Amino acid sequence: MNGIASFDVDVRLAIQHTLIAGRPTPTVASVAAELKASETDVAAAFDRLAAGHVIVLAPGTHDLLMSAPFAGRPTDFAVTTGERTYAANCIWDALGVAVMLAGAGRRVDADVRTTCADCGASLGLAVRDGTVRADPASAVAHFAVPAARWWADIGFT
Amino acid sequence: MRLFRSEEHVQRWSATAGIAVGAIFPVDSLWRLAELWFHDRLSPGWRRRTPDEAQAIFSTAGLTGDFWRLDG
Repeated sequence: MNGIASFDVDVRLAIQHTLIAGRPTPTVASVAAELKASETDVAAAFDRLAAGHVIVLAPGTHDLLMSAPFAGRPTDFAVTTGERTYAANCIWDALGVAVMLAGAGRRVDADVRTTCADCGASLGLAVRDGTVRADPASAVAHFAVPAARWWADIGFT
Repeated sequence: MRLFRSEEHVQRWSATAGIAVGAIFPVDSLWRLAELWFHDRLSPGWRRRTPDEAQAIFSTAGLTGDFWRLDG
């Protein structure tokens, strides 16, 4: 079952649009206020979305850690587009921010800043006119965990 | 899921961290994967990919082999 109930769609999109707007990381209370819904209902939606791997919550709480491609906390993957800078969960999600915003009819050009996990050097990806360029050009992506095991420990993945 | 300065830096990090090298691929493939994966994320009708759908996206992005298999 991959479908999402209507209310849960509203909650998911409220989370995403809050993050796109650069407002503080959504909480059960903030989403409930925005949707004029009860916190009990929104908390239940958070739980369902987390169970469906749509969002990631801190264990035992409703604190939002991930709503891909966005991170709920500062990370080593900063994506700047227009006047806003977003935190992404990983290098895949960092480019996903630019793609997702373009899909919403917003500016697609973006600059990703991160660091090399080996040497700590600053690395960049520039998205311009639908293409990406790495700085330095030698930069490569590395996924450590095989795809079938990504959700075994999504924080590490 | 990180960016490294070069493939040599992945190998060195792997040896130091004691974590096996997984999949190394160019940023063009990463961009294609992001395009295919996230283009519809703000659609109200978006839903999580099925394993078959995800597998097809990996394949279209040129990401194939045991590392990318979801049925294993």
